[in-house]
Amino acid sequence: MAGVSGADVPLEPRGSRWSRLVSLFLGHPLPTILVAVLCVIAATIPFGGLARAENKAPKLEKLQAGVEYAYGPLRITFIEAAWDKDPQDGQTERQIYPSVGGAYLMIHAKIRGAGKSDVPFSLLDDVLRVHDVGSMFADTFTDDKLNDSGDVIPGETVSDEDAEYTVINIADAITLQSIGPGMTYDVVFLFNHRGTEFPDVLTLHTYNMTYRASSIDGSFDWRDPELSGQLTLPLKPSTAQQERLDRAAQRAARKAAREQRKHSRVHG
Amino acid sequence: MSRRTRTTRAITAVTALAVFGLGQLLTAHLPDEMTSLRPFQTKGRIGESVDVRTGTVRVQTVNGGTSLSSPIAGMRTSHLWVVIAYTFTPSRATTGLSSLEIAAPNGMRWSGTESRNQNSCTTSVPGLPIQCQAAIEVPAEYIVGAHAELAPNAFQRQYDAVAVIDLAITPDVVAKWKATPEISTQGSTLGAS
Repeated sequence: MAGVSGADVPLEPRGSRWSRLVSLFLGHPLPTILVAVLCVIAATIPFGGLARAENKAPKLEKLQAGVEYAYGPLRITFIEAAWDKDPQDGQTERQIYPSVGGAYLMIHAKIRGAGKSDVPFSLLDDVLRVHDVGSMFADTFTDDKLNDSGDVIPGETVSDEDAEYTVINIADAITLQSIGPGMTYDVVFLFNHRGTEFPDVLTLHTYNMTYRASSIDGSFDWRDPELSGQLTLPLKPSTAQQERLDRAAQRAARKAAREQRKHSRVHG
Repeated sequence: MSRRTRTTRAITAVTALAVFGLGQLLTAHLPDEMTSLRPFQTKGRIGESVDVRTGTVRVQTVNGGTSLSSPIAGMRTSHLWVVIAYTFTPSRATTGLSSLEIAAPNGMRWSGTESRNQNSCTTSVPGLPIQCQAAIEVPAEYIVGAHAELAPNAFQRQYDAVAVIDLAITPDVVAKWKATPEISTQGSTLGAS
């Protein structure tokens, strides 16, 4: 039997250190995957792959009073803003009672149902929020209460974005929960606010929603309100509220004058 | 490749194509989901009794005006209030009738249970009629030619019986209603009218 001499054994080619390292890595799956991921990241660098991600604020459309805007099947034309402690002062068929400890914030608007079926409550109720006002009661009919002992029980206040409103039909002061197709109404979006210190300019945010199925029960509705528009309106007391303020100022002036005359007689 | 193998493959291919074709044919001709879920509609007119599975319904009168006086509130509108008075008589079990909608020829629909609308219809025992009233706020410009749809269940109308009643609304009727300042509802009562 012929032996194999050492001269007959083929020598393995001696590669460089780098080629041995590559061979080592490529021989195992995990390093191969890591290298592949690094290559993909490296390939994205020229296209901004390592750029700092910016947390961009949503782009807000600047809205104008007197212009109709669409929110799904709902159309809204904002008109003006005012505040009033007792919007239905003097009305016999009263639906809204004076705000206790505050005043109502009223956004006058025209609304219209533009679809084939009702504009639902989910859409009508979440289309609008106030911004940078503060001291907002949780909803229209939340305010400070007096208990039997005469103590004030403060109503819940919330952040501006959480303050809810009621849509009131101006013609009869009755709440609109939804509106039918083709219907138009002159309304106020009625918020409630603790105190009567209001900014001179009111900022409103409007929200667009998506009509989609619920992931829980599959029912379709308007969901996922997304901030889409911003409107600024001059904010002042309503005409009736201004008259009340003027009368109160006149009474205070007359009282001060009487005090002054009395003081003059005593010391004069 | 033998002749037998070629024949087998050819038959397989032809069979697959035939199955695809048959599937497409069935898909095109079988009723879709919307069709299979559609309600069973029965047409009628004012004054006619129509069967709606749980009983019979008869629309008695249809009136309109520009404000509504009801036991709940007085409501004004720049449009029209339409008040539909109807009788429902349960046939087998104690029940009422909870769904009433007005549908316009252009596809718009106004529900008796949405917005400020009212559909007042209590429940009754089999054989004892209920006097019901629905008040629905509608835009005057769309309701000429509209019909009412009355059904036992407000939330589930698939497969169910629906009475489709022509409300006989003409331009003259709308003009008359526009000139009527107030219309009233009295709620629901038991017994024949």
